[in-house]
Amino acid sequence: MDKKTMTIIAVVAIVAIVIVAVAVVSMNPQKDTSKSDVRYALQVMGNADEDTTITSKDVTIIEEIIAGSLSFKDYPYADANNDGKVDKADVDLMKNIMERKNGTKMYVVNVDVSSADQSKYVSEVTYPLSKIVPYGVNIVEPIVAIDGGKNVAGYFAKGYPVQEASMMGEDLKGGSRSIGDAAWKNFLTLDSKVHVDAFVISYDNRAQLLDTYVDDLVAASIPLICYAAANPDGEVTAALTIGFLMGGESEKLGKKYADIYENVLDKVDTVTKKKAEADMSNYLSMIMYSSICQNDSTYNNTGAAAGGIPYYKVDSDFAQLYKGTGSTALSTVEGLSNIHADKVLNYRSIDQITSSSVVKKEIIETWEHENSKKISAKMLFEHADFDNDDFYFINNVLASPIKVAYSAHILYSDSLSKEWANSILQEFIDSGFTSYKGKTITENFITIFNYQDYLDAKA
Amino acid sequence: MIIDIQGLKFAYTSVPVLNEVTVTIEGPKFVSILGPNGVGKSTLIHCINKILQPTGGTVMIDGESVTDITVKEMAKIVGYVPYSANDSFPLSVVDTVLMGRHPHSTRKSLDSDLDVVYEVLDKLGILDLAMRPFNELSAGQHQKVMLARGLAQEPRILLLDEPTSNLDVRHQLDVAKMLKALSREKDILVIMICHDINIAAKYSDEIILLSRGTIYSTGVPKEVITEKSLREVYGVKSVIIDDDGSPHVILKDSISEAETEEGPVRIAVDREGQII
Amino acid sequence: MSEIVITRTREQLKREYYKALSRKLILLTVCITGILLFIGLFSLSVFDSISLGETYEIIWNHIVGNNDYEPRSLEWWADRYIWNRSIPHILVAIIAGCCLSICGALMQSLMSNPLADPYTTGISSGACFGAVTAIIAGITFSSITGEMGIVTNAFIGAMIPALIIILISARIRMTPATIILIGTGISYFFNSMVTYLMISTDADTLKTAYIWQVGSLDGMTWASVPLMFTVTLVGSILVLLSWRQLNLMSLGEESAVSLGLDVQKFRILCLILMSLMTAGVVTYVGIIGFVGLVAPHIVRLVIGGDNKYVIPLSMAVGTLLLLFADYVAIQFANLPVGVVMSLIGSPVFLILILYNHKSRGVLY
Repeated sequence: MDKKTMTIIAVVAIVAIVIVAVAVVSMNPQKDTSKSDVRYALQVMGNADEDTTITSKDVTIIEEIIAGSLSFKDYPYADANNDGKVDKADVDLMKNIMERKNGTKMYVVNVDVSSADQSKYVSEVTYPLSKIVPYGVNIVEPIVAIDGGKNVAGYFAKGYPVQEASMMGEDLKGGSRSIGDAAWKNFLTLDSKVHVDAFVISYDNRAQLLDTYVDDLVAASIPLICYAAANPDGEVTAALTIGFLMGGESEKLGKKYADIYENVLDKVDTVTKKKAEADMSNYLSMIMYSSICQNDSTYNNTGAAAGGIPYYKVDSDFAQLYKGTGSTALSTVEGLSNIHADKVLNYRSIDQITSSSVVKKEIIETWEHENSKKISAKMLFEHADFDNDDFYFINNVLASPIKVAYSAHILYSDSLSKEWANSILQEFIDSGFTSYKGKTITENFITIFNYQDYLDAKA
Repeated sequence: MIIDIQGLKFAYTSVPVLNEVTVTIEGPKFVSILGPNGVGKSTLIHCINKILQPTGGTVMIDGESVTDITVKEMAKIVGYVPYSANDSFPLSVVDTVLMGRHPHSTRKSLDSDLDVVYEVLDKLGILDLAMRPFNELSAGQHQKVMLARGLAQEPRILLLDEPTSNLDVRHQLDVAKMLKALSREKDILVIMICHDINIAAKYSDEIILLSRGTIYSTGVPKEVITEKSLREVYGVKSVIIDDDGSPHVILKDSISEAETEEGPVRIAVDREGQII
Repeated sequence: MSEIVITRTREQLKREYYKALSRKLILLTVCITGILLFIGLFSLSVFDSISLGETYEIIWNHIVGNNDYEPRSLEWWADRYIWNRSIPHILVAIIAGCCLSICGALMQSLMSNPLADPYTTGISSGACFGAVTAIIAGITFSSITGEMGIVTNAFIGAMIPALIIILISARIRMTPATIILIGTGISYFFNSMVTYLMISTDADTLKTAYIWQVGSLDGMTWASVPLMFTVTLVGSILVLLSWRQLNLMSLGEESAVSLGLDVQKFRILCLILMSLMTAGVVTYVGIIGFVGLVAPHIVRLVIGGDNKYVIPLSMAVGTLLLLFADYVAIQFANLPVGVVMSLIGSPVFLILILYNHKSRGVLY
């Protein structure tokens, strides 16, 4: 044979072998017992591989632990019934969980409200949740997004009435920043009527849940579910887990919430992976128009998820000045002059808009609002040396995957376009998330806006 | 009753008010303390009944130093009628005078205390004011109630800070007469600060004349009140005539500072801001 | 013609005096009855959906041990709530009302100043400072046992101005005016620190800190009661027994000493006692103003200045005032009780001053 023919046969042979190998491998899938490493896993005991779903893979892991080929220590979530051991009882429970059987007792891993360090805590709930009472805007938003509003038996306040329009239940007449005895009495009366099946709270609001309220919940065996929903990871975890526990459309939407988040994180990852340390963008987080978020503020988590580096890590003088988990109101117009962050992400919560005339007003108001020291963002911006593209207000009421996308766009605008970020919001709209369904970006949402948008609005 | 004062010194800050005052007052008697403004008359009295603590020297009452007598014990012995009364809170006259019984009263003594109050009010002729609120009275009535309170203490020594200055002439004489009678009838050593030289001269058994923080002279009125002493201490020219054995002063003129031995007038104030 | 002078006999005098006494006792009884009625009819109507009669039934059942209701039924929650929250709430209102008004009466006698109240010595700003640092630090450092932390901080903070004044008092003779001025100076200092802390924090923490300051009876439980109760009980008994000395104090320092009272020592003891009492209350409920100022005034207006009756009656009137303000706060406004108290107390206080002016011809 000549060389040409030999080559052709060789190539065909290799291709054939590869095809066969692939076929063989896909016919006999390897037993996959690897653990997922997502930061927003489905927090239900039985989700042994700690990914975003409960599947037969989890059952396999449990069986392997029983058989002894895997160690319980490596898979803490394998203990589906939370009794401290992995045995047949867990397998039986998994059967009910996977069938989504009504009345199944499930064990939800969440955050201990009384801990200072977000330590884990397991609550027992009865599937499905249909009469919850939520407290804390950071956890209410994801709940109403995943069609959980219909499963709310009562709420303390509607902080953003348009966004939260789908939240049903009784108005307990509390506040968005406090509960208060009067509202608590309403809650107790509600419970006597309907027997609430879970009290859901965001970790950043735990100080308003007084010890005496917690005692009441414990005495009535009302499960207390808490997530650090001020963090994007925590918010997604809450959406995913609570969606699962509610079942039906909520479960689907909860999973979609996590999937979209995963996509955003992956996209961010591809961009930042290629960047050298020195090319990474750093960011300063701000809130309340003109306050700087301190080093350990939860607001820094959104920027971090978007692939940025919080400014305090690159400027040690700044880090010294802004220690803490809260925020510092700026008192002079030169407040930002010495801060040389690449980007400023200023978080502002704005409800969905009902008429276009409101948009301009809102943008102007936000830029011109003066704090108690008579300092506005406008003044700060005009006295500092940020470009228009370096300083943005971000609507904090949007779901975290969307916020992270917009943040990533701001941080790395040459690699991540605004169109891409818009597409994430559009995906929320198209996927049928209840608070987003049927809306359009331009007509219903304020997303991000900078100084140029302010000037345009004033014109 | 003997009040023995040796080398008494008192200073508020660095400016001395009383400077080496030495005097012995024996009672029962009616004694007047005279002297110009700021000379330390009230300070002297306050050092006796423990309102002020002397910065030097000793004060002995019947052989006991005042520093060894407790405030409570002092109140049983020494009564005090202040120059002005604090009337922020409306008490009835009876209640006010009843307070004078405090050093002696016990839980069960209300009835006997009321007896004493009745007598005192009667003696001073103010029974008709008994149930009136104290702060609705005129200045003169105030003073009588304060006097009543001091008397209700049933003290052996009674200190009075200008008890007649707000009274009309008739009552001035009445009170002075009564104080003298009191010293005789009840064996009380009555010590009165007075600005009216003639009343003091007419009724007192003894006069202590203070000048520039020390004793100028003590003795019977006739000896102490002389034209020379008035000129040197008060800086006034006067003529003194005899009035049934007591001196009576007719004031002629004031003397300019250059002509007297007096230094600049020091004005001492007490803690309530009143000029002493 | 000699004028007709009305004289009295000894017996007449005594009779009139005793009659005046009984008037005061009647007032006391009326007040106490008023309080009991108020509590019974108003403060105990806890749940909108449960009538007053049913509330009493629940209380009675609890006392006799007959309270095993169906868990999470309305009766079960009401029983729990009434016993764990409402009753301590009412107790705290009573204790705070008593304590603040007795401290107010005490301060007014001590300082011979009708404008003094328990916070004149700067205790309130010290307590605010303590509490606000705990609230802000507590939330930023994420300690949930922060509820207890706030209380201890507030108490220590309250005692700092008190200690300063007491220590200075012990060394230097101070007039009441000086004490008040020092107290005011201390207040300014702590207030400025509090303001600084408050403007440098975020909105949620700010609201919590502010609500604490303004005085609120929300969230009271049995845990809030023991310290307050002990301090108030012991303090009240001591003050009630010192009525004589307080009467002397209100005569002015000179007269008081001349009548046998060691003014310096007594004043220091009273300041210590009053600081403890006020601090004990303020650490739990925050700064509720006007009770300490207004209650003794109302009492004096009716029965004069004799502390033997002013002290106990101030307690009664102060309690009634606070219960009333609390009722209004819950029923109508959902406001903290401190705000309602100021809204009510302010016009009442003005009326008192003007009325006094009319009858005496002179303003304070």
